[in-house]
Amino acid sequence: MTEARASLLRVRALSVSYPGPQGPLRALSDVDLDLDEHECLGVIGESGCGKTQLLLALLGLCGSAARVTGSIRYRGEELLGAAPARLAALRGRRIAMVFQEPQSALNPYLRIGEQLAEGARHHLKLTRRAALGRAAELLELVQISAPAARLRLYPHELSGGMRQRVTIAMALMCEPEILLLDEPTTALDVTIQAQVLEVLRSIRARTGVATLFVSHDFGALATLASRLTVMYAGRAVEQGAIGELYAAPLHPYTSGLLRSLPRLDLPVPLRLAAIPGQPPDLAQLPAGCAFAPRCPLVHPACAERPALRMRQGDHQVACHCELPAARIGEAWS
Amino acid sequence: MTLAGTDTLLEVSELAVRYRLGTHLLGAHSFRAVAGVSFTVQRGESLGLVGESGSGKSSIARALLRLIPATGSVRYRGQDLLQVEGEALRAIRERLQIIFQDPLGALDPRMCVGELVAEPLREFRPELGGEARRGQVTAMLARVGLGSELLQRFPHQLSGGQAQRVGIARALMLGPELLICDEPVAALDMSIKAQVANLLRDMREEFGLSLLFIAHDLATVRYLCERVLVLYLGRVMEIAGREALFSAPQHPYTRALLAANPSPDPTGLRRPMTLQVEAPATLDAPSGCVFRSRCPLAVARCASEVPRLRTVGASLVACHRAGE
Repeated sequence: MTEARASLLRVRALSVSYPGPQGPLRALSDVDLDLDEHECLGVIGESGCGKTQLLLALLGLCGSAARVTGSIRYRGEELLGAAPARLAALRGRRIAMVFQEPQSALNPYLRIGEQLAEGARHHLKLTRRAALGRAAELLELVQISAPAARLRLYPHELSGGMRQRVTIAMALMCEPEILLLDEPTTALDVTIQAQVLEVLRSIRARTGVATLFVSHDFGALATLASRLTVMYAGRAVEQGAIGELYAAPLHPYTSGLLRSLPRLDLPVPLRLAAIPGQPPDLAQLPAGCAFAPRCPLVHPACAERPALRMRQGDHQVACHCELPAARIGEAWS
Repeated sequence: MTLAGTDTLLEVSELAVRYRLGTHLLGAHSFRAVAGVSFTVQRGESLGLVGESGSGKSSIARALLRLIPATGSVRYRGQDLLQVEGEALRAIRERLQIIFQDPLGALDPRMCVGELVAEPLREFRPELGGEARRGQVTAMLARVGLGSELLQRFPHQLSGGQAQRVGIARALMLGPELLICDEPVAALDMSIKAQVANLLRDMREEFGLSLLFIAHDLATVRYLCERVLVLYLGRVMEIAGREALFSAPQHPYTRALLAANPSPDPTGLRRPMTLQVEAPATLDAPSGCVFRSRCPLAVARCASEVPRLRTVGASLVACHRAGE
């Protein structure tokens, strides 16, 4: 996170709020993150933690009711407040997104070839024939057999896993520099999820596209991401190298989540260490740490909101607690 | 699996569910969502039903509750659930309850929590006075971890976890023997899943419940169930005790399911194993073994002969090649 590092995408103090009957709904608060060339950054959190809002804000898609503040720099260029035409030129061309539900991301009335070709014809000014040729190449890249024949199919003629691979191919049509993945495997069966993760891994190995991978699945993230940001109630609460973060989480929330997961690679526990309570209402966020009401290590200092700060090396955490990871883990058992 | 001892609560044999897709010149067009599934649930036991979409697991749950027509037999305390009618069916429904995947969808949006939890009592214990009923409702809400301040709330004012707790309270209100859980934690948030899994475990102990726990998440099944049945395209692939199934799976499909599960391993090195081919649509399941089109071990015999369940190691497994 050093200032000297040249980021492909550099987000600072990004906040998104929506007007609500009980005052503004703070969907995203003061999020900082950097995405470097070729890297895969994971973002994990529960519903309402702001992970999808983050992706929408990056694409300038939060809608007219939203109040978006802070800074989003793509190769040094400020995107927040940029002209709509400029954003439209970047979207799908330099920054592309894969959505959670492939069936709603695809137009049911169009053959998948036309849908794949659309972006390339628009952004790269390819002819229809050239764009369809490129579409077939990309279907091959996402490991769909007989790609030329598949171009003539409609979305309903494909299985769920294949549809998701089509949307991945679509996102890659214009060779974007940044790929945004919004829970791309959540709606899929486990064996199909494994296939899609494998496709994403091989694409990243081949193209080196920088990836922001949003998910609520620690296991899926471990297959692709090298760094991870944990979000809670609209804020980034922990950030670091994924291996270190899993092995030695420093935020009580991350620690609790990891301990609450039933796992196949560990003995069956007598009881899962569940985090009590539920995430806060975004319209009525507490002044201090939003996790404090559920935290076993809550302390008077938590009435004041902790800033994200460096603890060890590149590992950042937004918590007043100074305990080592092992002691934080013990607090949950 | 026909050892119907005194402790067998539920004995399902040759259960089949067929959905009609419409009629054409040559007659009715239909497909089998569940084909010849047999299993038992012992008293106090928790049996996991595992499979991916299209495996027939929800169809089995719905068939057991007579929500959809099925053939075969489902013996519950000596009575065939698929044959009983009227009062006898009503009496069985009291003892057999279900909780659903979508907790909000399962609650009537026009009823408040108090009414929702009282409804089974109004229906089955009409002799109870209002006072006694309210007492039981408040006590049950407290047992599932909900305060009485929620009594007047409507479903849309609840979080997913709270709504699922209301569903569990409703299901437990009449003191059932068997609770069918159809993906009860799948739709819940990460930090809420463990709460509800723990609650089910506690309730099971407190009420001496048997569970038929349907899920696609193997880790949750391993946490809650002593025995596991693996389904694929409506057929049983393997039945085994927890230890055997997770440490020595015999069926290639069970192995594939286990291997596909990504683990939050800090080394980040364990890549999930993948099956090369996608599942065929349920409508055109292959001949012989339904898994053969994706099976790395398939041989000619798998296309011609449907494998029967047989004992291999500590499992009952439907595979010609298991144990080789």
